[in-house]
Amino acid sequence: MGSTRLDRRTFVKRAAGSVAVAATAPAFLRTTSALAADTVELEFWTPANDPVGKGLITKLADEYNNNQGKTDGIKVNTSIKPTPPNTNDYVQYTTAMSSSASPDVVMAYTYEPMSSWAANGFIQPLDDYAKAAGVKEEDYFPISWQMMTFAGHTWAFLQEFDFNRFWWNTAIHSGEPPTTFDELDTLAKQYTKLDGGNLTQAGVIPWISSTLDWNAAWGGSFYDFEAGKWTIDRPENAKFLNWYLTYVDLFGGREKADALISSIPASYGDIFQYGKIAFAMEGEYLPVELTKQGLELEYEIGAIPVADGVPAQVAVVGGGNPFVLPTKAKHPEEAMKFIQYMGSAEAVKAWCIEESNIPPVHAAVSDPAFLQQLPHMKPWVDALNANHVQPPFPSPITPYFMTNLATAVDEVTYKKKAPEQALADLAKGVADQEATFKQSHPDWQGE
Amino acid sequence: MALLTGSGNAMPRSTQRSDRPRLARLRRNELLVALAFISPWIVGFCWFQLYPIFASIRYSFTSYNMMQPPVWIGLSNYETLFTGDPLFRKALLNTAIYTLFSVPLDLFVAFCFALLLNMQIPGRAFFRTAFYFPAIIPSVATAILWTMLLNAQGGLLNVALGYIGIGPIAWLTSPSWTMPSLILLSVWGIGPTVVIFLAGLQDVPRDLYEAAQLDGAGPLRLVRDVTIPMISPVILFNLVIGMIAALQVFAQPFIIFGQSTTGVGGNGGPLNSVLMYSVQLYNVAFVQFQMGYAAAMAWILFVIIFALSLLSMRLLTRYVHYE
Repeated sequence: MGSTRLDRRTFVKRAAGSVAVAATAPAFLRTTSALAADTVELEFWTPANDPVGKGLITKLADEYNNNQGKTDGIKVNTSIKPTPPNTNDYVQYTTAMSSSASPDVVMAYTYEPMSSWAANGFIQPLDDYAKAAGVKEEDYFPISWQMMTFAGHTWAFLQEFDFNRFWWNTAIHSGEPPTTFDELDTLAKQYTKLDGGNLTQAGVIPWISSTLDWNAAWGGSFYDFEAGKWTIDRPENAKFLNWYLTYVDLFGGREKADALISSIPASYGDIFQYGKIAFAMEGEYLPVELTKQGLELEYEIGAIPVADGVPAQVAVVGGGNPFVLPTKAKHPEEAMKFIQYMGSAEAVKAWCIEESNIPPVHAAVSDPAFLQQLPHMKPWVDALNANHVQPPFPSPITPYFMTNLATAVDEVTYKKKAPEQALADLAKGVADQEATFKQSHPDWQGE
Repeated sequence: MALLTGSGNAMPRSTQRSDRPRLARLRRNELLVALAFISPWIVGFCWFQLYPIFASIRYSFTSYNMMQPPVWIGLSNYETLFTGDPLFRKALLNTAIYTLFSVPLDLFVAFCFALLLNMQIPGRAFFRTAFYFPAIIPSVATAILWTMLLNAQGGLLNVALGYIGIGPIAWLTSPSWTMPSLILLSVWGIGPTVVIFLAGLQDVPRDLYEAAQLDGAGPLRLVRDVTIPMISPVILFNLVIGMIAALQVFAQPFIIFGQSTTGVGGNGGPLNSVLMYSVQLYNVAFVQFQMGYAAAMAWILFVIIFALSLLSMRLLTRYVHYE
């Protein structure tokens, strides 16, 4: 028994010693490898897992590593971290950004989380870096500068941004586009077809997307940018919802339109791309998507029809690709150099021409090669030059608002609530969220 | 009292007294060795489970967004949940409805399948595998598959219903049909429940069936008066486990209804008709960055599940037959 006890004790001691050595070995190896190299390694996260985007981002990062990165003493390690299917949630990103293993640079495929990331401290302002790098507001379109700079700070460099234009399927409508809602409604009724009680073709199904665009076209606005306040329940905002109701009645119920919407097989794409509706609001990236999906669609593009008194080229930004600097980035100065590179005119032009997106800088758009290669972008360039494009809402409550705006639209179009009541309830919900936010974020300078 | 040696003989008194400290040391050493071997599990349990549990209790009384330190706000999160959050009430109601209908349906279908699979038929092994197979398919793949099956125009289910003159039904886009479609989808994952029922059925003594048959019992009487009472502990187990799982359902509603048909936000389906409690908890935590509020929601769910489980065990035990 004595020898057994001795062997067991010896075994436990030796096992404990082995575990201790194994645990410290990686730290030792890291130390020795860090001492040996001068190059700073940056961790760069991007959700670009689509074939075109992934190839482009990897190519841009590799070009940086092989050229400017060598001069800067920086090596970028690109990690593709897609967002969950059917969502724009960056859960993995925010979890990492709040930890000690935060990436150094984050790129998002959507602009929506920007204001809440900034307000909650996930990302840090770039003011000092941008100033040192000589970044000038006049290099950017006013709308893209507003997206990068809010609440008194610069938060991101944009790779591109998106807003919708009015498209029509020329196989269904071959004439001049409608410029007023009366003209649109007349044509839409003409093109709406019901077969055996099922909706088989529609002139327009306005609630598919672009709720903010339709609201703006009717003269409404959910946010007062000058005052920095939500204006959800102002009477003008009910106009577009009442207009939606006319189409609910035309179709014989919201379910009819939803059945048509859900009839297409693709996981990405909508019924306009499949030729089932005459008019729709779509983004500048659609031609690339049509090619990817192998869809053939004859189309023209123009400005959204507007109500009396509303500017002709009105639009609301739907999204964008920002590059941001996490608060817990280990190498912020080096990360900023890479962010500047990715936000430079050459890099954004390379991305935007391949992906058919809108560059945020004048230099990229004014380059003749841009419209030569992307002639369909002229309506977007016209809208930018007209300067009636509205930015996203710079409020950290924006994600809550957008989710519950969808519910409000559902409540109206399923005839559960009147437009005014739905907007009033939404306004109250947003106000409650704001109060909660301000209680826990008294230092936030923005709305 | 005499101490025994390893061969079972009593030790002499002089040996017993002098050996006590040595034996106590021996037992202590054995305990230490045992603890050393299970220490990895203990450390892991304490760090990855126990600590997060206590941390989440604390966070539920704070305002916390993961980046700034938590700020104590007392019962404010709980007050807001019960008095000022319509989405919380909606999510709770939806989850209750889902649980109320999906659990009995799943139990009934699983029981029927288990009865069939318990019969001596050719290819029984194949059928047992086939019925369990859906349960091992990843949730995401299942959700995408069912999105296609339940498509209002061209989905397999509506095509089949169309042949008998029913439909088309807007399974995933009508607020009236989204909950039934989710409940229907829950049947897809009854494989484990079937297996547990099957194990219980095979434990029922054959002589009870024979005795009942001698008394003139038909198939239905056999099931009602022999099978069900004998497997009542299994039924209770499956009921409690099924209820716990249903109250925490997340993957299918989150993936299938990820974006509303308006294309803007929303993972609760049209009119939030299938906004589930876990999905709303996810929204609060990871979209709105209100970790303290989400922790409060998590603890309320825990209390509900605990209470319902306890109630089930207390109330239903009288109907359970233990051998």
